[in-house]
Amino acid sequence: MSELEIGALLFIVTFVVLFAGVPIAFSLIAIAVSFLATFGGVGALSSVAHSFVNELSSFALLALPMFVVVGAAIGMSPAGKDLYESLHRWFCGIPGGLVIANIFGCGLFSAMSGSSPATAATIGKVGIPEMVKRGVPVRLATGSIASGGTLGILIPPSITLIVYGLVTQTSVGRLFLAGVVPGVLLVLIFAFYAWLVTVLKLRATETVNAAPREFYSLKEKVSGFSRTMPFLLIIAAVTFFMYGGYATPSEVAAVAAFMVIVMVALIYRIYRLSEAWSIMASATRDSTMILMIVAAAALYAYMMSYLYLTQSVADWMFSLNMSKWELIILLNIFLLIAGLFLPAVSIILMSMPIIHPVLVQYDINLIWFAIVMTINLEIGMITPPLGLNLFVIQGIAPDVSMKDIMLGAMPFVFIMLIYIVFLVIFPGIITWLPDMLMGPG
Amino acid sequence: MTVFYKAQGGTYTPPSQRAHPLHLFNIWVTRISIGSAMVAALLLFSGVLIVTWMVLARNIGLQTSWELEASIEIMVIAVFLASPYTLHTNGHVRMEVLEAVLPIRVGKVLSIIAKLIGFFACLYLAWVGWQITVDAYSSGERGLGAWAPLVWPKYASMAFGMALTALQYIVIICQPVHQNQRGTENV
Repeated sequence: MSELEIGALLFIVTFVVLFAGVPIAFSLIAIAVSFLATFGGVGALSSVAHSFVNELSSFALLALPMFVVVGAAIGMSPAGKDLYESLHRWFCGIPGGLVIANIFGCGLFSAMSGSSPATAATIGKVGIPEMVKRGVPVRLATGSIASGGTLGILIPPSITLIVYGLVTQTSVGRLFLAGVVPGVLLVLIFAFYAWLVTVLKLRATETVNAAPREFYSLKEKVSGFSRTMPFLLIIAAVTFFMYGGYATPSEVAAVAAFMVIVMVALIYRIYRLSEAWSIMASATRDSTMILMIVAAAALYAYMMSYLYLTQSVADWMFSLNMSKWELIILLNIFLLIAGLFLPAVSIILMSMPIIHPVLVQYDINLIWFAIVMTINLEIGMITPPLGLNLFVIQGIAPDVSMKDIMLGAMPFVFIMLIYIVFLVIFPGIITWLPDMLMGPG
Repeated sequence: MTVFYKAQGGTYTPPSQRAHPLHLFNIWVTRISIGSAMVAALLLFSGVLIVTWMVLARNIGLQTSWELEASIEIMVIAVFLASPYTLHTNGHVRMEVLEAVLPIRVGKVLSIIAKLIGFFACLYLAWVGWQITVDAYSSGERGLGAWAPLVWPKYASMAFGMALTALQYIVIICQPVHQNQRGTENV
């Protein structure tokens, strides 16, 4: 069999095994080992074990479990609820204020956790019942939280961007900086959409104004942030230490994890052994899941390289003689489709070994591509059949049908699609901040 | 451990139903998996403390030597030790797309095949992990860096963790059989 034929077979086998319900990590291990043994001979298996362990033996990789600890500690505390309540005080006076408060809550929580499902779950638990109670249509309520939650992988610290940085050997600090402006802009666009919908449609039915108007003084508004401020300060400190060159992302992540654990204990009195176990067990489980996929994907990439598949597919893509724009469009379509079926981390780990040399050859900015890729993958989190955030929302709001949740997310999907086109036309939105603070990349 | 087990949704079974060999196997594999995860969680927490200490020590002018390698070794060991618990709590991400669209009977067969694939993948890693552990132990192989730790504990954690994950798979595969048997016993 030629390399391209083996590649086609690998593609089919991978999708069948993944969709059969084998955990992603074990699927990749089983496929890598089978293909190595079948097409490379038994001798090709000699370095499987070392390859698997050594992939995990990286200090850069330590950033992943450390940020997961941060997310778990904040996620299991009432910080999300406090954040929502304090934002609600600021936005309750304007049309669509409840929805806007939730979207801003998602944006700020993303800056603390780095995980999309965690963001959607934490803000949604408080936000959705409150919105529904006050007359916000369920589709807008659930859609805003599902899509607001996706900001978790765009706004730093983002686990997806850390994995991308590791695979492509790109600076994680630069990637984090690149995610700031597009992330903040997306929050504002989502909020503008919520405001517009409320003004144009909901005011006519007066459902939103059915509840009595609330008023908070400036003192009450400011005091609302008293309990969440320490966490926001930790994020500010993380940013300062990382970009100030005082510590590497892994070191910053560990210090942030330590500070968040201390803060959660001091502010929310979460220090009993059972509570501490809950946080650490959740963090350990999620870290293991991600790191096993990382190690398995490295084995998968090793198999593809050993069988000369990576190079063959890259050569095949070069032979198509596509223009840069054609390639960008093709890659975006591929990522959108892949995002419908696979988790973001897996897509990056499985596809980047092939895409990376093509991007380099076409002189495409890797930082810019990371952000465009991330937004593509965000769309996958709120579209069927495997939109993770849709299932998270259904878990929070079991009374709302999946159809309503999906339809509620659709306008936000369209917003993100248009936003991707916008970022493709104006790449400076992504590269401006990292270039300004760290010099041209 | 009991508190932790209950907090994680572990099921309590009356003493009268504990005699079945499969049930005993289930209980012991699950207990070891949870114990192993507790060690992993402690290691992860100690990793947080070690790296925080390393940053602090460096910034106050102290020399650091073992911290970097220790934190890496700890993370690797924690990942393997927590793998069975992650499977036990359904934490390894998977996509049951085919099972959802295929007829129920075919879907059930596919589900068992999927579990067997996972089982053999874990068993293979446990086996090769054991081989490199024995090699590293007999040669006294050490890691790179200033501290240069022995590498066999790291490799052994792979062998142990993946073997226990394979056993956890046996528990999952036998679960319907065991439940049916218990159902018959109850009738």
